[in-house]
Amino acid sequence: MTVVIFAEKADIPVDAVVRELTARSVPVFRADTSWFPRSLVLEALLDGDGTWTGILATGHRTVDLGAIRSIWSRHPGAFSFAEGMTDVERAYAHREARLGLGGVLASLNVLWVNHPNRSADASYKPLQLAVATRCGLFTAATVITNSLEAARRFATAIPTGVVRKSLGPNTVTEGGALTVAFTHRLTSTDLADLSGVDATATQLQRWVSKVYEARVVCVGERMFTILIRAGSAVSRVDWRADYPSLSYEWVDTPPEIEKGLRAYMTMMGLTYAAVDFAIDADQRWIFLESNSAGQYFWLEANTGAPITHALCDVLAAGAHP
Amino acid sequence: MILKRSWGHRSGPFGWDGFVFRLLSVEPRGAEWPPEVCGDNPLSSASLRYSLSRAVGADGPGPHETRPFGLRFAQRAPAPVRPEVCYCHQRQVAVDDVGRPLIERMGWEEDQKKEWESKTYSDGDEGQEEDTWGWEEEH
Repeated sequence: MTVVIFAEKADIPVDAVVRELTARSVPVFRADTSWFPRSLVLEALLDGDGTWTGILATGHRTVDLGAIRSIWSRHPGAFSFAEGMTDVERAYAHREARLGLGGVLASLNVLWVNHPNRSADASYKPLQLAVATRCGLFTAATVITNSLEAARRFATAIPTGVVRKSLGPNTVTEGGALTVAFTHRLTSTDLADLSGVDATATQLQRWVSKVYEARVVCVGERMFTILIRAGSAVSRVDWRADYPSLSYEWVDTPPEIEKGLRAYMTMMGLTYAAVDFAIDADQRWIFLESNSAGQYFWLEANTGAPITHALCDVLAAGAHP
Repeated sequence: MILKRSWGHRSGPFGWDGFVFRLLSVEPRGAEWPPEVCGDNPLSSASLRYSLSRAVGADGPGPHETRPFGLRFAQRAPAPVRPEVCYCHQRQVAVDDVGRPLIERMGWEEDQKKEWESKTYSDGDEGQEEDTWGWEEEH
């Protein structure tokens, strides 16, 4: 039984997993979806039991669809089609590829880390916050609005201040340069001019006066909790803004957080998630967001938390009896 | 009657293949992305997972009055460097130009404390905007 991994060629955390699985004598089939259709071949036949049978093959190895025990979908690349295609042909081709290759894979009765559909659903931050609250986790007061008045009302009602956070990826390319919209704590000057709130959905959230933060990496039944301590002013607002200033500590997961996260993972249908918390002076853990494809390797490197090992355990166990 | 093809909802009385032929007079005023960029259904996470596949860039910020509030505070950052690597199909890992796995060259096994460049500005998000969310093609 084989572990299938979809990832880009240059992905060191994936290399670590491949090496460990190989050392355990677990067969691995690694491919990138960018190889489809030119160097990744799908041959799938629907049998009388409603199961897709056949193979997935590169020029170097082949995996029987029925011999897959688990699939790790880790930031795979985009489909790549022949240069001569028109835009129309290309659009048609990638729809068909997505529905054909993606559809066959999604229908396989295997363990996914994570199933693309569950992962996509879980990328909705409003859903994350609602589910986390229902699972007994603390969340910060949040408004999502395109109403200037609603945004102003929310901000002025919270004396400790508010932050603006993106609901999706926080990077754009402008003027040929990468531009990053980190979480921003709004000042009185910002609040005096809220124009742009009505340009699209805008998320404002109560500022959590945190003493430190944590990322809890959930891998199957295991959880690895890494405290993240900010060492600069900007990283105290958004730790992604200043990695060099951070320090890390691997600690036990508080029981109430573990309980809430287990319920969250079940409700979201996730096998893997990196969940971020802010911890205030009263030691309340406030759920910020969940990332179903969140990074973990630098935390493992800095703390020794055996996340790669746990991932291999989950992938090797798979879903088949 | 003047018909103009515009990017709109996937289905409708005149819909075909993701396009809608609308009367010019009722065409929405705002600019819209084609469905292969923004997905077919704006409220569906299923569409979200196929969206944002096209690398989208602009010469610079738009007018203040229409710029999303969240981007007002955006700041420039160095673009992450994606090193050119070779890939060993036999071992299924990235290797350097002499065939040594990068994971060895980068000292992982010798130094567990080594800082790995496995994180990004949007770490934890589902990927940068220019990245793919699923199995889509970059243009």
